[in-house]
Amino acid sequence: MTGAAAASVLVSMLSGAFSPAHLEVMTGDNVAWTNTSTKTHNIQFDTEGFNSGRVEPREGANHVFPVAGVYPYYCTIHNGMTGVIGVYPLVLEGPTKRVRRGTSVAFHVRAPEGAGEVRIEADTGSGFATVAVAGPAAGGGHEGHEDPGMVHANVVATASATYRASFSGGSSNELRIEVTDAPDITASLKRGRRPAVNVRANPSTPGARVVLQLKLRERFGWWPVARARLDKRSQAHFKLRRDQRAVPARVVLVGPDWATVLNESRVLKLRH
Amino acid sequence: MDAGRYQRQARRLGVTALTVFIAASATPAEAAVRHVWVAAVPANWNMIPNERDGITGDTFAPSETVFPAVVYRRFTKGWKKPLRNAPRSVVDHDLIPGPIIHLLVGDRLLVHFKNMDTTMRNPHSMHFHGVSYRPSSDGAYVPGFSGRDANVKPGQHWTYRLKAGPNSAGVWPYHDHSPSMHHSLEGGLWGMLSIRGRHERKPDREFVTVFAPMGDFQTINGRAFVGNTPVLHSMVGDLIQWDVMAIGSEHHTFHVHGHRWRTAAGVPEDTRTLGPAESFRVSWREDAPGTWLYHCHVEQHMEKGMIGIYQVKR
Repeated sequence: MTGAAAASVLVSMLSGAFSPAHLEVMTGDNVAWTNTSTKTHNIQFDTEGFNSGRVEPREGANHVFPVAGVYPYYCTIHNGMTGVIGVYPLVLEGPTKRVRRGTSVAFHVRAPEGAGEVRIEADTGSGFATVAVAGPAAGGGHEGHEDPGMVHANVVATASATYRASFSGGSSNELRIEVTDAPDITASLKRGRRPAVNVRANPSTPGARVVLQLKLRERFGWWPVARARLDKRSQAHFKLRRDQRAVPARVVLVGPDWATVLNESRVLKLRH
Repeated sequence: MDAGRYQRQARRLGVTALTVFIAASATPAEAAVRHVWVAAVPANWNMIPNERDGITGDTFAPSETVFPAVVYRRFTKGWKKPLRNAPRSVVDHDLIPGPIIHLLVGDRLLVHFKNMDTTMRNPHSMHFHGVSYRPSSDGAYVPGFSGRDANVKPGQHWTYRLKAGPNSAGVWPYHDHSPSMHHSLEGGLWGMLSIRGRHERKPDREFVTVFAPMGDFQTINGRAFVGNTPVLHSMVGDLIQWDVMAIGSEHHTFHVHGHRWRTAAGVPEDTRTLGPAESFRVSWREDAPGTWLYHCHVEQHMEKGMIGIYQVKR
């Protein structure tokens, strides 16, 4: 391994899925799988020629990825239990949801020690072009702690684009960031005997359409469960039914069809 | 029908319904008069709310899956307040199909229908299969012959008078049969009657599943692909009843994984064919826990969304 940033990255083996199923790591990283379920699993990489053998509940398995590439894997015992490890010389992290046009977006890059100049590149449809140079003190660092393997950059998002980080040794994974002109949506959980999700839009947008979505396994994704119009204070409240309190939730701002998502809140974990 | 005559009839029928209800409470075998208030209302219908085919991973934008529909919606008396079309135990989403209407053989049914189609401003109607009625309750448009029952204009209403006769036990379609029928049927303006024999046991779970093409998709209850189509639930030991119907111009084969049922002749079966406007019910005592698929086995229909999941818990 070339630098100080080599790490061990964790993946949980659930009863029928790897979590996270898609993972981006840096060349030389170790991936550590832990079986947190009550079932026996294994890990089979056809491309790498690696098989973990049986991994019993509470046991684990490790594998180091020394060569960049995209490596799909699966459990041979449980049909449909699949994952992908993407191995890159740099790992780019950034927002996982839409951003408002003009927002300063913070990017964080895991880079090998001595990587030299790390550039942030954006492609808005006509190829990648450098939009920033990342540095150790670019103002976008993780709050509260220094990580010698990380460099940072802030980029003002003016249009939807695909981003990557590059240096002399290659390029990172790609991040797609959609830019929206819609207001920001803030959702917060009101706990207590009658839990609810409180919603606000900024700037104030009375009358805007918002939909409460839950991430439900049986619905294979985000599922709309309630809709509302923001009141004159640009707020709305969704009461939660008893069976709606143990799953990830978010609020999306939608267009006149009540379906086209213009912006979304962060994901709330409703479990107490 | 003029307003005065309508009100007089409504008063008379209200009294009749009350009398029959009291009688029915004392002796459950007596026939009842049931009133159902329904309106055709506009709705922005999304065939694929989770935006994906959960099996292949293909994604769909709302611009491909949302369309302005007109649907049947259940209301309180006098169309004052909208209601759910069916309890959550019967369907897990609302508006398509229209209200499930439950009757016992021998019951009379008055469906008070109002056209509230304020967006497309089309005429609509209700035409019922399986029940007996006079031509003025047929709801089918024939220029020069049919009346206002078949051509209810926006803002107008009509009361359909029906009877669940001796040959009516089963499940049956109802649908728009007005001049706008062909457009309306593709948009989900249909629903089901579920009629039980007077000595038939009520099922613990009743699943309404309507197979119909919509736009580029093949839908069950107006939804395409697993997770979007009804997610049905039951418990081991439950008496299950599926109410199955096809609307449109295609044939479908209803198939449930991990289960079999018997035909009227006693032959075990796990797939049954139905054509346009055909309907049937199948039942069994649930004994197979797990998550199962149910779908149309016409493979081109499965690929376009005619598939769902059924979860049985211990």
